[in-house]
Amino acid sequence: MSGFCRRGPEIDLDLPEEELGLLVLALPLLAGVSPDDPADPAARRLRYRAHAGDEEAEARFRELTAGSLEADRAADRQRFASSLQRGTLGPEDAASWLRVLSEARLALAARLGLDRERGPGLPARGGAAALAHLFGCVQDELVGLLLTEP
Amino acid sequence: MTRLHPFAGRTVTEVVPRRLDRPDGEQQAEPARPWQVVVWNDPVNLMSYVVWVFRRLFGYPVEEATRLMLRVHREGRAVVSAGSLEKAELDCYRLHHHGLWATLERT
Repeated sequence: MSGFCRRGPEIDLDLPEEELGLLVLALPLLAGVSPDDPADPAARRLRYRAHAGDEEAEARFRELTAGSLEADRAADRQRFASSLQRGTLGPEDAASWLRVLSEARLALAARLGLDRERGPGLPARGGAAALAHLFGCVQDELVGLLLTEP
Repeated sequence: MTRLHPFAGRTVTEVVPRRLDRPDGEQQAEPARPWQVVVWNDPVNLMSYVVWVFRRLFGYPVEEATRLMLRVHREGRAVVSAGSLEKAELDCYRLHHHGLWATLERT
């Protein structure tokens, strides 16, 4: 059974109510990540470096992009929330969904203590892991639909 | 209200190689694509999602996007684009926006 149904350029949501209720938890999860909090592993995980080993270039890149990255992420969450409520995804909504679900899974994984380089993947048990698993299943299903579009 | 993109107003230029009649020993040759964007493996992002990102951002056919994703997965990293510093930084920014771990390095 598919949770998404293509209707022309749009995609209708056909997910069970309980899954929709869990998906929306991505929003408070991400809203609770303060980008500059060094004590939060999720914040550290979502803070990227472009110029490894060149602090001057990195500072310039960060100055150029940090505000926009936060604004782009906020716009994705807004699209995610409004299309979830509407029950229909346009093409850009679908892209925002995939980014929000990726960001939420990364935040959950970081708080579960996984090493992004050598971690074993998401653990099989626990509430946070179950949520990350659901986000992954929904993301994979939506990606599959987008990759097979004509 | 329109929000300016972080790279708005910056000219993205490619360095075009110039032909010399004879080798110019006084000048260091500048590579045409001096910077490359590397995507690193992580244990969280789904393989299917990474393929979709490579297709969306760089327009790769699904076979090439899958090949690059598998290289990231098996070898720990893959070069996904190259060009001027401005282009490479823009590509890196877009990959970060999609949750992928990307860095820049000189070719």
